[in-house]
Amino acid sequence: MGKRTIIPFGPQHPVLPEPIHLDLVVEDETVVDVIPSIGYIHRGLEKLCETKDYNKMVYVIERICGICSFGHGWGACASIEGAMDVKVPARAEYLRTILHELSRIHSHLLWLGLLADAFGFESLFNHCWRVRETVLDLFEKNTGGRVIFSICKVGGMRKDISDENLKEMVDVLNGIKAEIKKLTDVFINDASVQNRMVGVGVLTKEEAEELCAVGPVTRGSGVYQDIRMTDDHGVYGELDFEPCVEEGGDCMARTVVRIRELFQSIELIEKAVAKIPAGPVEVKVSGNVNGEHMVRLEQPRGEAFYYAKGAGTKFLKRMRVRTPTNMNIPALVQMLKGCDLADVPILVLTIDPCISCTER
Amino acid sequence: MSERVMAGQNFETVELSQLISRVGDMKEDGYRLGQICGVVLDDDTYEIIYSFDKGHVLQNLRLKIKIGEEVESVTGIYWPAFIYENEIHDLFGVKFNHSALDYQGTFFKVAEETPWKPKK
Amino acid sequence: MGFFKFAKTIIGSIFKKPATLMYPVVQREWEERTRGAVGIDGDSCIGCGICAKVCPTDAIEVNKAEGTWTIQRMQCVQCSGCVDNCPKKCLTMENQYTTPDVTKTVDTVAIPAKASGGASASSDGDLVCSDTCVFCGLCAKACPADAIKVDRKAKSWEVDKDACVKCGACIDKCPKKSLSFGGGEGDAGEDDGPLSCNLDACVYCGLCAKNCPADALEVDRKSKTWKVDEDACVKCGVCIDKCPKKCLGFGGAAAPAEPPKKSIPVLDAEKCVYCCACENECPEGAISAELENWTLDEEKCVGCEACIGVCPAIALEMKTVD
Repeated sequence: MGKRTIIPFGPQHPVLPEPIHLDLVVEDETVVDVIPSIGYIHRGLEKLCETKDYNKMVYVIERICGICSFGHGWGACASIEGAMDVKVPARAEYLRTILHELSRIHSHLLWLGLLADAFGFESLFNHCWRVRETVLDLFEKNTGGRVIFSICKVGGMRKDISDENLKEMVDVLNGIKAEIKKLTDVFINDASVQNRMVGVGVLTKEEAEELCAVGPVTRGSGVYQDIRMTDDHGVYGELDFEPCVEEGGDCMARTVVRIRELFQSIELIEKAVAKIPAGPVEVKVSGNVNGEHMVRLEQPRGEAFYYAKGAGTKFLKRMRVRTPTNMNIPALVQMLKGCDLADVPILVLTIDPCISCTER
Repeated sequence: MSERVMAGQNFETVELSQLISRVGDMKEDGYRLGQICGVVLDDDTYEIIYSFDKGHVLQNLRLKIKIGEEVESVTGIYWPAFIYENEIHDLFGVKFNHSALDYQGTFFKVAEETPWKPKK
Repeated sequence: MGFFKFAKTIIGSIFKKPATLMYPVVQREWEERTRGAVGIDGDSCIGCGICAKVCPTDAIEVNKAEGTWTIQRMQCVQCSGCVDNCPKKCLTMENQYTTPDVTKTVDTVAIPAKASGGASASSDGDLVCSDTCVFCGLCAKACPADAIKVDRKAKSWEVDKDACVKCGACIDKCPKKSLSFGGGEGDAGEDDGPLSCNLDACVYCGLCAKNCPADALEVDRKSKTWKVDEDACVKCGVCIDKCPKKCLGFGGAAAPAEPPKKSIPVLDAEKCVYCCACENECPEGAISAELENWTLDEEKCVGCEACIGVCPAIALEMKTVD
C-alpha cells in the first residue's frame, strides 16, 4: 500500500470545458476517493427568472446552456403551459420534437469530438466538429440562431418551419449519416481507442440505480430509463421510440449508447417529418401563471426537471431547473474510485458534464 | 419492454416528522431520487419538494417548513441527495442535520451568504 | 478491432478543400432567418417603448422627449422579441452580426421627438374616451402595455397614463371610435335601437354569440332561438360584422335580407390535408373528414362559413347553390 496523496483536479484543466473541481485521493497511481466540488459559475438564473415577465424568461432559461439550449427553452415553456393549462397545437409539438432531436445530434457530435480530444485523437475531434457544423447550419437556416434558437415560446413556436425546409433537413441528415458512420466506427473499432475505453470506469447496473444516475450514463449500465417514454411532452409516442440500452457499464458502453442515439435521432426526425400535421404553431396565451407544474425532458445528457410555480402575477414565484449533470456527479464519483489517474479526464468526460447547467 | 406512461402531477404533502420514514418507504419501493427543490412560499415559510421516479412515473413529496427550522438529511437513504441539500443550504440557508457529505456552506461560491433567503 | 481505422479518412482529407472559409477574405453567406443585429427605421418609429418593455435584457432605451432610441449592442441577445412586438414594424432583424469590438458599443438612433402617430392617432395629448363608449373592453384587450382598464358592470374606463405608450392600437380596435388622443371627439354611434335579428334569414349558426364581447347573445340551433340580453348588450356591432347572413341590425331595422340563397363549402381535394379541423369546427356536425373521404351533409349545413375560417390548407370555398 502506497502513501496517500491528494491531487487537485480542475477547475482549470485542459480536458474540462467547464469548471468542476475534484480532490483526487490517490495511492500510487490509483484513485481511491474523490470529493467533487462545483459552484464556480453560479449565475443565479433561477432567481433572475423571478424578476422577469414569464414570457421574457424563456430567453433567459435558454441561455443556461449553449448545447442543450432548445431543451431548456422547451422545458420552461412546457412547465408554464402546464401551469396555465394551455394545450400546444400538434404541429408545434412536432416541431419541438424535431428540433430537440436535432439538438441531440449536435450535442452528441460535440461530445464525441471532446472525447476524442480527451484521449488525444485530435484529427478525429476536428472531423466530429466538422460534421456538427452541418447541423448548426440547419439550425441557423430554420431558427435563425446557431446555438441559441429563441424559437420556443409559451403557447407554441414563434416561427413555423416550412415543409420544404423540413424535407431538406432530412435530406441533409441522411447525407451526413455515412460520414457519422465513418467517424463512429473509429470510436467503436479502433484498437487505440478501445485500449482507453473498454473496461474503464465500470458502473454496474446496481450502482447506477443506487446513485440515481440519468441519461446515457445509466443506459450504458443497462438501466432501462428514458424520459422520452413518458407522454407529457413531445410526440415520441407516435414515433415508435425505444431507448438505446447497453450492458457494459464502462466508458465504451456509454459511448456506444450515444452513438446509437445519434442514428436513432436521425430516424426519429425522419419519422416526425413524415407525420407532421399542418396547422397553426401557436395558441394565444393571456393572463398570468397561477399554479404549479413539473415537467421532465430527456436532454442529450439525461433527464432534466423543470418546475414552474406562479402566484397570479406576471412574475413566476419559482422557476426550478434541475439538469442531468447534477444527478450524474455521484455516479462520476463512484466511477472514479479505483481507476488510474491517467483515466480521470476520460471518465469525467463520459458523463458529458455540463457544469454551467448544473449551477445555473 | 416497458410501457409508455402518462406522467401526471403527483404531489403529496408530508410532515417534517414523517419525512425520513416516508423517504425510506420510497427507497424500499424501488424509487430513485429525481431532485430536491427549495421554494420560498412567503416571508417565513419554505417548501421543499422531493421528487422520486419509478418506471418513469414521478412522485413528489411536499414538505413545508418555517424559516429557521432544521431538516433531517436524507443522504443516509439516498446518498446523491447531498448535492441538493448543500445547494439548498447555501442558497436558502436551510440547515440539514446528519448529512453524509456536508460542505459546510462552501458548495456554491456566492458573494453573499444565503442570497435566496427572503430579506426581512 | 483494428489499427489505423482513421487513416483512410485522414489521407482523403489531405486532397480535399478545407471545410473552413478564408475569413475575412471570403464572407459568409447568411441565412434569411439569421439573427444578427437589431436595426431600426428611425423615421417611422413612434417612440412607444414596447421594444424596451419586452426586452429580456433591458438593452433598449427609448427617450421620447429627446427623440432617441438607444441599444446596448453587447447586452442585446438577439432574441428578436422587440422586432416581433413592434406595432409600427420599424424594427428589423438584420443578418449581419455586430463587428467585434474592444469597448461596449452603444448605438443611438434619432427618432421623431414628437411622435407623428399612426393612422388614426394624433398623439399630442393623453388617450381619452368619449361618452359614446360602450365599455366593451376591446381596447383593453388590444393594449400591448396593459394600460387600459375597463369594467363593464361599473361602466368605468380608465387609462394608466404612465403605462400608456400611445401606440394607437386601441384606437384602431374601438368599434365605436370613441377613443382618441388629446380630447378629440369620436363619432357618435348612429344606431340607437336594440339589437335585433331578422329571424327569417337567420341560420342560427351562433357566430354572433361566439364573438360577442359581452356574452349578451344566446343562440340555440336546435330549438331555433335567438335571444339578446339588452342590458348586457354594449352595441359594439361586432356581431353585425361577423354575421354570415347579415341578418343582424340595430333598432329593429335589420337589413331586409334577400331570400336566403344557400351557400355551402366546397372542397378542393388537392389541397385538403384531412386534418379534420373543419369537422371539429362545424357547429352542425355536417362535415365528415375521414382520410381521403370528405363529405358534407347539405341538409345539415347552415352555411355559417365556420369551416372556411379554420381550414389551415385553404382547401374550402363557399359556393352558392340553388
